Amino acid sequence: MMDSLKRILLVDDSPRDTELALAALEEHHLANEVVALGDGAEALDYLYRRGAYAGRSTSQPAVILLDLKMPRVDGLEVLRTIKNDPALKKIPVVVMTSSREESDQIRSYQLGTNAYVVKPLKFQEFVDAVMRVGVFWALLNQSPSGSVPNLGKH
Amino acid sequence: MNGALERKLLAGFGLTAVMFALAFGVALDNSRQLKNNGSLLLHTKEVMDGLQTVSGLMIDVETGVRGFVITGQEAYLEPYRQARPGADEEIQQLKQLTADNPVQQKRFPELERRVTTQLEYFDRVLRVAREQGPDAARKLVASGEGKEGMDAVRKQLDEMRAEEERLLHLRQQASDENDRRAGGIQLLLGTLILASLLGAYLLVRHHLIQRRQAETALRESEENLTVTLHSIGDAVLATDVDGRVTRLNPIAEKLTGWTQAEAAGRPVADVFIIINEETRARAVIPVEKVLATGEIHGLANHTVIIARDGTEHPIADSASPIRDKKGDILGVVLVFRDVTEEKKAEEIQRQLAAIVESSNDAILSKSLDGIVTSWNPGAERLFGYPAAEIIGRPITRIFPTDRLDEEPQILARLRNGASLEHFETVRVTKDGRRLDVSATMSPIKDSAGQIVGVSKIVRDITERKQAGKVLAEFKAALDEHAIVAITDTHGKITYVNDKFSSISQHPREELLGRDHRIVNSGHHSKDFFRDLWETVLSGRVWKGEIKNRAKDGTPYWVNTTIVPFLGQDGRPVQFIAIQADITGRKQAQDELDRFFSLSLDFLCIAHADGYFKRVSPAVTDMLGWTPEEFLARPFIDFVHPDDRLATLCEVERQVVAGEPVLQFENRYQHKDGSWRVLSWKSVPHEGGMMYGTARDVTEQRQTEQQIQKLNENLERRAAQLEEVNKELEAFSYSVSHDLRAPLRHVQGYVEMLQRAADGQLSEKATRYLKVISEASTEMGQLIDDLLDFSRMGRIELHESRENLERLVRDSIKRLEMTTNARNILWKIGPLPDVFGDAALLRQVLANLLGNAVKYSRERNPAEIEIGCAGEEEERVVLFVRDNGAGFDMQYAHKLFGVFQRLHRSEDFEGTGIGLATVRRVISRHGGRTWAEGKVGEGATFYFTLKPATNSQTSKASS
Repeated sequence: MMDSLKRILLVDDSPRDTELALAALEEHHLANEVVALGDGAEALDYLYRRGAYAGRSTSQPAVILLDLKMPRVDGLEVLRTIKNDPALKKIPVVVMTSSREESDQIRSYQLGTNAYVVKPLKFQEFVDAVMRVGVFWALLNQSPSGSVPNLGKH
Repeated sequence: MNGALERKLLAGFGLTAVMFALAFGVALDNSRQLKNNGSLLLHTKEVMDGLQTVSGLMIDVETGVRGFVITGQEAYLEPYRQARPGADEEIQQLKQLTADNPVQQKRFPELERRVTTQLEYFDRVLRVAREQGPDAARKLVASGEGKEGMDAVRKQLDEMRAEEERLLHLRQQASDENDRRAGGIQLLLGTLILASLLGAYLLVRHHLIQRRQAETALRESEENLTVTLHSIGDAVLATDVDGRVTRLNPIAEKLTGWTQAEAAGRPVADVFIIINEETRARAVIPVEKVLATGEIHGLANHTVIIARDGTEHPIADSASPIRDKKGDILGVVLVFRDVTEEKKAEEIQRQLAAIVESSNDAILSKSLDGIVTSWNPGAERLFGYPAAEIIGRPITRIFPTDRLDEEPQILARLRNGASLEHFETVRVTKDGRRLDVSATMSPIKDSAGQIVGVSKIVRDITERKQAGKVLAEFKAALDEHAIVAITDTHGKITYVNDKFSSISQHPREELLGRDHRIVNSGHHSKDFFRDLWETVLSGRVWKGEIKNRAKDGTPYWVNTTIVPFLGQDGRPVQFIAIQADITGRKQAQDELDRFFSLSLDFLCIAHADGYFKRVSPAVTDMLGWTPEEFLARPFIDFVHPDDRLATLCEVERQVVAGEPVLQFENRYQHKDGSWRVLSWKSVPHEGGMMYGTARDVTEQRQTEQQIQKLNENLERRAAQLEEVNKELEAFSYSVSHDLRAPLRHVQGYVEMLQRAADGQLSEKATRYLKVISEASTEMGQLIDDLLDFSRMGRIELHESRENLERLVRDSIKRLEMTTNARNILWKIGPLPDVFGDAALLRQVLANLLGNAVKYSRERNPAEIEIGCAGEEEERVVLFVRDNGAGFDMQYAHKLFGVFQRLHRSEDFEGTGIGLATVRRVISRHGGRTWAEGKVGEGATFYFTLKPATNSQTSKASS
């Protein structure tokens, strides 16, 4: 893993979704800004710099794209941990999930998610959605914590 | 008496007495001699007679025998028969007569022998004459034996006679001598006596003359004394100095019971018996004291004299000495009088005084000028004035000022000698209270019959007046309260009060003189009235309730008490009936009874003694027992053994602890043996009574049990359903999440493949990729529809008033975005507001209107109508009609099934879930869905919804 600053933390247990998402972000040259993790446990290790990520830099991502249904620690659990930790709670979290269940949306907003995006079925729509989320949160959004968006590379 | 005279008389009488004694002695001796001589002479004569008789008898015997011998005839024998039996006896008598004479006694045996021999001779002659005949007898006679015998007898008798004659002569001579001597002596003595007597006479005569003069004076004095003593009203008893009674006057005779004659000379203590009235001991007669002291003594008080016959009289007396001129005490005079009357009078006087003294009435007197002269304690009590304060004052003090004029009138009447009785007026007490009084006044007369004053008895009648007033008020109160009638013993009405008239509607004059049959309603039996009359005629009070009939026929009930008024003889003279109108109560009771009988619930009154006292007829319907059977046994007998303890506890709780309302259930045995569950409600009443109702809840309890069982099943089912639902939810979630991801991947990679191929794919390959992409899109749609459908069944309803028309228009607007330029005629009928979940209703409309649009796309113009077709079961029936492809009614039942389609998807695309979703939503709102259609002519889809009510507010407005 590179110790360089990555602005987008993508947490999804599906490698295909991750690949599709990266492909979408690639179109806007955001792929290098992405750290893709396979489940919630890895995401928490990363955020708390422990385990495999104990030695990484102290900088935190500009946005976390979080799937809900994952093995080990699911997305809602990760969301709760982040939003309950004063050090992490300011990191914007965007739930990106296949679930259109109302209950999932309600739970997510109750736990403090910054946005909820249902992954569109059609690939183009999916690409558009991921790209807009990535651009908005990683490049346009001003966040008091974490890294300053790097507009220079664009 | 003169001593000289006495001595002279004594001497004279003494001499005379001696001479008398001598004369008497001579006379006595002479007389004795005479008597002796007489007796001897008489004896001699008797002996001679006896001798003569014997002689006679002998001759008679001889005569008889001789006659018989000569004649032979029995008749000649008669003299013999007469004489013969007495001959022996005569001889014996003669023997006794001569017993004193020794000479004759010496001769007598010879006489006896000769007579006996001679008699035997005669007997023998008689016997011979009878046995041997007269001749033999004659021979015997002729023998001379008889003659000799007879001569001998005669001779003997003669001798004895001669002797007697000699004796007689001697005795005669002695007697004569005696007489002569006695006569001389007597003559001498007689002369002497005469002389004495003459002397005495002269002496006495002189004395008598003197005496007569003294006696005349004495008698006059005595008569004077006697008259005086007789005239004295008191008893007088005089004694001499020895204490012997000398004199009693008639009153003393009466009191002592002794007459003067009987008492004279007796010791005074025999005659004058006195005792102490109280002790009954003999009282001292003060005679001796008086004799001893010469002083006057009174008797002790309370002395009673006991007369000879035992009668007693209280007496008062005194004893005084009797003195002569010289002052010597001659005796004592007791003067006493019967004080019985005095005592009686005293007693009466005392009683009268006590009566006046103790009388509650005021008794007073006044003079004719109205001044009080006497005033008893009763008067003091009544008027408050002590006697001392009012005697001598005008009676008008007790008059109220407004009645002062009464006094002159009263006095005027009494002056005329009239009495005034029970004069009722008003008087005033010392402290100013007015009293109602009744006064009786009489004139007081002096001994001359002159009216000198007035006696007055005054009685306080304030209370009586009050009582009279109270009585009148009672009557008024009674008349006010009760219906009153009085009847005589024949049942005739003699009095009715206004209430009686009023309730019976008969004027009084129609009732008086009639009997109570005038109001008889005919409701009661003859026995009822017979009992009534028997009761009151026997003098007892009758009480009861009577149904009467008023004049216009209206019945009325009276609670009646009939009280007999009894006459002097204890028999009723009239009856008073006191009645109260209880018609209302009776009607209420009737109503109550009717309800009581009518009640489906079993009504009862039970007592703490364990028995029902009254039960309603419902008991028979409920438990089979007749009320009589039910009352006959303790109620606990009917209770299920397992419920008895609890039942008794409940009863105890109510009767003893006073629980006001009880509600409990227990089981009672039906007459058929089955058990019925009764639900009880009871309230306590005085005297250990409980009023209760019971309802048979057996079926209800069974139903409840069944319901409970069903509920339990239902709950189990619901739990199962809940589980299933959860599973379904997890399944849906899984489907939603996991089934979609691969589809997205398929599409994603197809896209990436096309990009990666960068236009180098053949046309065919491109078409294949397009199919793959379309198929995965369809599958995504299917999954979404299925998830929607599934969600319809699970999500919570949020119902509110909704404007259906607005929802319809919104839905159409959304559809028109996809219908492009199609010619569709929308007809939206007047639609009611409904009550439902807006989001789900939108889903329904989207499906139905979407279908209508879809299946009518071959039409130009397409006609789609949304309207209301009326109501069913409080719901509005709504419909969506199109003129599209329609359907075959044969398959109508399949329309609303999931994945059921009547058209091929080549003709009309669709997942087959839309109508299933519609049905599910409408069902969840409690409505129903159905469809009508014809192939090629369109279809109509109906659904029902609850109309909104006025009270419901819409989400929009709120």
